[in-house]
Amino acid sequence: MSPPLLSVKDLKTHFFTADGVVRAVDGLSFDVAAGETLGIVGESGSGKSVTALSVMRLLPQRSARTIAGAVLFSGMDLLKLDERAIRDIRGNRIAMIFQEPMTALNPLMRVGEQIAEVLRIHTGANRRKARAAAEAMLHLVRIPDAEKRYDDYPHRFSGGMRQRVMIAMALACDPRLLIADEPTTALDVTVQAQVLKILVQLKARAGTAIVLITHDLGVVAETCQRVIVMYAGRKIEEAEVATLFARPAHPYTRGLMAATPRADSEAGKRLVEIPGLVPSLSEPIVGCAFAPRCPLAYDRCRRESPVLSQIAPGHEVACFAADSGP
Amino acid sequence: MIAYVLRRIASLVVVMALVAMAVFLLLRLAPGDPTAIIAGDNATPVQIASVRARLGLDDPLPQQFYRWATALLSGDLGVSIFSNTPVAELIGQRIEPTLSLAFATLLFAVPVAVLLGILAAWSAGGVADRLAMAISVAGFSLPGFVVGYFLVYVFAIRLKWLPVQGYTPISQDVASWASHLILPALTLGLAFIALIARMTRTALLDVLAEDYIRTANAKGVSTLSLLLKHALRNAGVPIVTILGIGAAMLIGGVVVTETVFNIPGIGRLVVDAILKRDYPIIQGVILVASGVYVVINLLVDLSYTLIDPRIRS
Amino acid sequence: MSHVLPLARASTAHQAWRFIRRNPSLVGGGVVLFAAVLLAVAAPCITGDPLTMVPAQRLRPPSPAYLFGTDSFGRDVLARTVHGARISLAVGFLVAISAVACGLAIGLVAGSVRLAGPPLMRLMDALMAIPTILLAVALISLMQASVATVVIAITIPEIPRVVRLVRSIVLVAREQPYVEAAIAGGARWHRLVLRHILPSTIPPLIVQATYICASAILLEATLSFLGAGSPPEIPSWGNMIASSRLYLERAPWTIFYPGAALAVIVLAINIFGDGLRDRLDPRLSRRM
Repeated sequence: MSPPLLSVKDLKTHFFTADGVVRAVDGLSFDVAAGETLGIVGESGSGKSVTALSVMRLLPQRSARTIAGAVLFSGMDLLKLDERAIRDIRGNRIAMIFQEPMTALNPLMRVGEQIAEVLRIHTGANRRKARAAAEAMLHLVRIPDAEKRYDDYPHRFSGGMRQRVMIAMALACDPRLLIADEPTTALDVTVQAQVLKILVQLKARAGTAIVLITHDLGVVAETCQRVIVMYAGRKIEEAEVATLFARPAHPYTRGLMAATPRADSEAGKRLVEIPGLVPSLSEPIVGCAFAPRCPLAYDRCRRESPVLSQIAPGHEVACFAADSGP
Repeated sequence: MIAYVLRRIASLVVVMALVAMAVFLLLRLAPGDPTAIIAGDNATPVQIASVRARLGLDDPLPQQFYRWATALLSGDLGVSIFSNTPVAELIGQRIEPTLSLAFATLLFAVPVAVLLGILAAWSAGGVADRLAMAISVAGFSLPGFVVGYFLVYVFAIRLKWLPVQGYTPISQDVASWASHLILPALTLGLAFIALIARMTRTALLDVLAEDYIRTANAKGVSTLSLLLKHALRNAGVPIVTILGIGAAMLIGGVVVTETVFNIPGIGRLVVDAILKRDYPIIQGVILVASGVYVVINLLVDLSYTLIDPRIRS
Repeated sequence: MSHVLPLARASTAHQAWRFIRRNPSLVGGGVVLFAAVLLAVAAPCITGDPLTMVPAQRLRPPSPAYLFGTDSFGRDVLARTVHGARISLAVGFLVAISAVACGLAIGLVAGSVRLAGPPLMRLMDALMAIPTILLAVALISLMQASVATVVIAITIPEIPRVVRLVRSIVLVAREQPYVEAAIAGGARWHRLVLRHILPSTIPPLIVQATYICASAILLEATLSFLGAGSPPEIPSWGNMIASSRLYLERAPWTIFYPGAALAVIVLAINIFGDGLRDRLDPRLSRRM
């Protein structure tokens, strides 16, 4: 078994605000193998985006800090690298795309230039070569008329096209890992499908590993091989996609499934919502974070915090109720 | 794009016309009898009447306005009551020192101000930031003449490094011209730097919080390149705007600075006119100064099209 | 970071201390301003006579008898400095109040009356195109020299900015759904303005008023310095400095005490204004 491409070990990232310390990520561990697509699922506030930012060391420096853990990539702990070293890696060996394509591109810089820039920084290519490579990338993400569009400014592109430009920018230097933080959430449904398709194609072509962060289970089902479910800054379930959909173990995961409209569900059946709210992360949580909303919770859940345990090969859950029975 | 330029120029014309009208009405609508005040405390009724006639206030209003408008359009800014010289000529004589002062001030103040703002934004909350902002508040709060006298006292009187006051034309002696302008430029520039540094910092901080900066970071762009290439250009519009406003501020500050340092420019011209109550001069300088301000603003507006491609279309 | 303690209310002293820590600008500037006002009001009682000339005591450096020294006419600089605060603060407050009041009125009209808006704003643009000092000087040279004249001459150039601010607030408020709904429901416009729009103008206007006050004090001093401000009989920091210009080398105290007083007051007001702005109108205050 080859070592994983990325290995996150016990990551803890806290935000220091005037009203207290927010434990956004509270002891998260996961691995990403070379070439695989891992989905990270959770509600807003579960810590998925913060995880991504922590890996890339893009946290807002004044208010957030990763206080514990390690992020191993190609034998290096990314958290311990100095500024120069991490900048070498960003955009080059690990790339990231974000949720909001309308604001993610520099409005005063030509689109092709923005792609060429990342090539010039990391490969030392000269202007001509960088431009050619950037045009090729635009072509790859199916931007029509790539040579002309190179010189256009972002405001001349639609949301879906801008996200494709982002993908081109991210994959220009052929990174081994791409972190995609809700890449399709802000797009129309039809455009979503297009963008995902391109992502999958490019990934197949280059063998890039992808960490796909999303709250949309449909996207996960289509694109991911393995999934982890996050809640209140922790991983509460991890499994292969088929397993997660067929046999969700954690009550929260089951709740998410039940709340997702499915093509094969009975007509007229109501979507079941998970009652209650995500807990505040500024106070230390006693017991299982999900207990207040969990239909299966009993007093052990409220006293002790469940740890992850394997209930089947490749399937982990952090739940006392799931442990003991179906 | 052409439409944008034409609209801006039309706007300029309208504002200047309004300024001219406002200045015209100022004299004619002031409460009490302005001509008596202009003529002075000891003026006899004959003298007051003479002043009225010289200012052309005896004619019916529409005729006055017609004369006023045509005179302005042909560059005639009126005649000084005391020296009987056309105001335009007086302004022309005094313009070199003022322009030199303005040039020297902008030369040093613009780079210093913008750099200070960049430094403050980059340090955001750190020592450099607090220091820059403290300098800025001080610069706002200190009146020009206090700063001026302080600088003169320290550098000219005590240390004797620089001349106390006065002006040497550049054609006469460049070194002397320069040394006479250092302290005045520092004085005039302080308030300017205070304003520009603060606004530059604000504009940059706003830009640095935007998503595309995060994207650039995620690409591995270096800090220097981030600040200068990505952030600064995007902060360009607000920065250029405030530079325009700052330049306009200089126009007013020149009056005090020239008085403190005894520089024979337009500022001193105005001050002398105040003491002698030579209203046509004050009026003429107002028109010229407003004209300069409006033109500067037009240039600022036009520069937007260079900075931001979205404005062009 | 402190945890929120579910205890009984903290003591008044503790609350006060917390307020001071959270609003340093507001408290610092406010205290200095308050002290200045007290000094100004009490001036005749606590200092000597600012007007008495004692030629024998011309240009004396600071001493126990004359804490700030004397000027070229033998007048007590300390007394004149403290009395100068009366003019400065009076002009500052009067201008701030007048400019805000006039600006509010004009701005409400400019924002409410559709046809009046653009022409009024063009007029404001024209007024703003004239450098403030020059406009003030022009106004003063047309009227009888007095404090009232100075107040009027300084107020008028400050009005356009207030008008702009108020008008923009009115325009934004007009677009709000609740206002549209109220109009559709038959509400009279002036009622709407009074009950809904006016209150939202108050916080930014208060902040603006403090900045106008600081600016007015500087402008009054500058005008007095140029000989176009307060009548020379009334001690103003500006004309104190003007009359001592020739003595910069021999008697710097005649210039720097009033100068320092001016700087301290304006600084305090600006800092106070910053503190007010942070509390009242966080939209304007920039992220730290």
